[in-house]
Amino acid sequence: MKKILDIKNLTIDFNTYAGRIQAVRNISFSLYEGEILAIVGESGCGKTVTSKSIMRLLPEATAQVNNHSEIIFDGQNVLKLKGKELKKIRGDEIAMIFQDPMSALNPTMKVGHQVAESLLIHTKITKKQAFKEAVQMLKLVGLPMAEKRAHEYPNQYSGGMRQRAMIAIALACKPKILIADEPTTALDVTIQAQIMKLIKTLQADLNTAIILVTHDLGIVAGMADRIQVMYAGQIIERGVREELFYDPQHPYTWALLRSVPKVSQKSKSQLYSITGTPPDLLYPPKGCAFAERCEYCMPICRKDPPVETIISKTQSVNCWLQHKDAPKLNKPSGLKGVIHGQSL
Amino acid sequence: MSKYMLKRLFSMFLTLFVVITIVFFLIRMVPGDPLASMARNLPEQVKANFYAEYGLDKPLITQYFIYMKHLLHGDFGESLVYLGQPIKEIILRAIPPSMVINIHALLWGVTTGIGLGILAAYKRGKWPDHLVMFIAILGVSIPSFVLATALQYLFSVQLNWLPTIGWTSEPGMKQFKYSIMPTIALSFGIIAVYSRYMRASVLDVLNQDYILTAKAKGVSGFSLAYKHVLRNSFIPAITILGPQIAGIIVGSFVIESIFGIPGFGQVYVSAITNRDFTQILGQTVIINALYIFSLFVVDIVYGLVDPRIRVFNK
Repeated sequence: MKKILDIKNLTIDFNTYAGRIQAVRNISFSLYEGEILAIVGESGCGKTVTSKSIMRLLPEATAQVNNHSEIIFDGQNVLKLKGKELKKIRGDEIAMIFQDPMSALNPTMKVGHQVAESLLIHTKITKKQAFKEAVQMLKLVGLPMAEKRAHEYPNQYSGGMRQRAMIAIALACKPKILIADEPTTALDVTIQAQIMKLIKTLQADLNTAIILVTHDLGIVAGMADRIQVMYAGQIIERGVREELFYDPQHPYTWALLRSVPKVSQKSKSQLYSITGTPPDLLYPPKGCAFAERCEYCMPICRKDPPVETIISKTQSVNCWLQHKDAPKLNKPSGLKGVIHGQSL
Repeated sequence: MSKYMLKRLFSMFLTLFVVITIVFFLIRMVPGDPLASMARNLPEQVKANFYAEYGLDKPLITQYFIYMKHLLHGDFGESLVYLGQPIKEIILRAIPPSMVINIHALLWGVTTGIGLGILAAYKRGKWPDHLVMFIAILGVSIPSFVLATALQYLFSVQLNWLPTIGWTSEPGMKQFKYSIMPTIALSFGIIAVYSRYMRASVLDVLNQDYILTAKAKGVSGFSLAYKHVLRNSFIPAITILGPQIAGIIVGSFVIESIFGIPGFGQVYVSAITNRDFTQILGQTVIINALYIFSLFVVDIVYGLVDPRIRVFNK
């Protein structure tokens, strides 16, 4: 498969009154043509910051991307692009769907025009043609009565319809990469399933590569080809879907999987949760960031950051438990089965 | 739509009615009467004749009904001080000077204020922002009459460029010269208010998710500002525009008095000192009708800008 996006040593800090928050700490990963890559992790682990940085959407006043960072798309470093070149990539080559469809659409602009806008910017067509195309796009994403609805404003749409409109906007120019930042978090469960199914179908039709940012492992199980687990601004484990669900290596990944409620669970039994809170990224710990909350923490974990251990061609993990001197553990039971019944 | 309009119209008239009633009784409770300002030591019989002539000898409630009856026919009555002069004529004479000054001040103030506000928001934290906010704070905190006096001292007394006070009803260069200082004095406050409103509003919109969506589409520069930022930022500014449009005709009491402009405001102030009951009432009715109507217009303009608060569909 062809590499379409290559991220190297991405480091992003935020300058705040309290100090410098190290939101993303030296991560590298690649995206391949036509695949769905999921980035999972809890709130504040740097998922959204990473995804926004690919389109250069971080606030320039506070966000600082390290000079050694590279985001290579189409042979050029996105981080170094200026004005026109950047504009060409945004919306045309790489598109994005945001978390909250309620606030992501312009309230004073007709939805049809909002979809047509990116077409007008990136292709040489007339306003009329663009609007026609926009209606087609809205039909494609399953908006009922698209001709009529295109003339309406976002406030006349339901949440699910707005997210469909967002998808239409994002896919209008048939981008090579779609970044979906928690696309279903703000929607209720039945609509979630519909939206995810829609994204998957369109992805197959258009052969778009997707970066799916989410904390919902159920969605990941049903959709992702590859999964990256982020914690405290770092990628701590990565692998293809089956590896991550059937043979996870990092205690944080175990904990995440155990936190998913199961249908088979007895009604009175307590749900599993990870104790403690993620570290303060103003002062990230010296050793492993998860050490404080880890059930298997060893003295070395607090001292030195773990190095990446290659498990297979596709799977790798950053954890001291992989060291040859570490005690051999039995992985917690009950991890398997998460993937069943969750796929779409 | 028509149902909404009817409801709205009804409540507009009800408000107006209540205001007129309150003002009618309120000014009669204030000590003093129109005779006091003209001649103090009149024989009792002359006074009685005067009161009888204008119906002021009747019980207050009867006077109220007589006044309302005439008002319904569009008759504001006669001035009690300027004998034989209908209120309608006095008001019509006073409106044009007020309009000239206030239209100038509003156009200049609103456009400059909005422009500066947008500039400040886009240059947040940099020197243009600090400068605009400094101007805004000055504009809010310096009363217009202080500024007016300072202008008179600088441009009339020291530099001798402009006439200190006065007015001419003929449009032209002379009138323009008379209008410059009052316009500046009035617009300074307007600039201050609008620049602050616009700055806050633009900053708020710039932080919205849909601006990120637009950027992610590749929208940038002018079309981002025009299509996505500004239209959404204008809503708060429209709220304060309504009463100010009414103010075009109503004028400014203080500024007109300082610059000796025979406008609506100055006439109103002298009517109050003279206890010219009919004139106070007449002008109050006009002012209120204008404010109420301007708020109604604002509600409609809102809908044109923001579909979420559109009160009726096209």
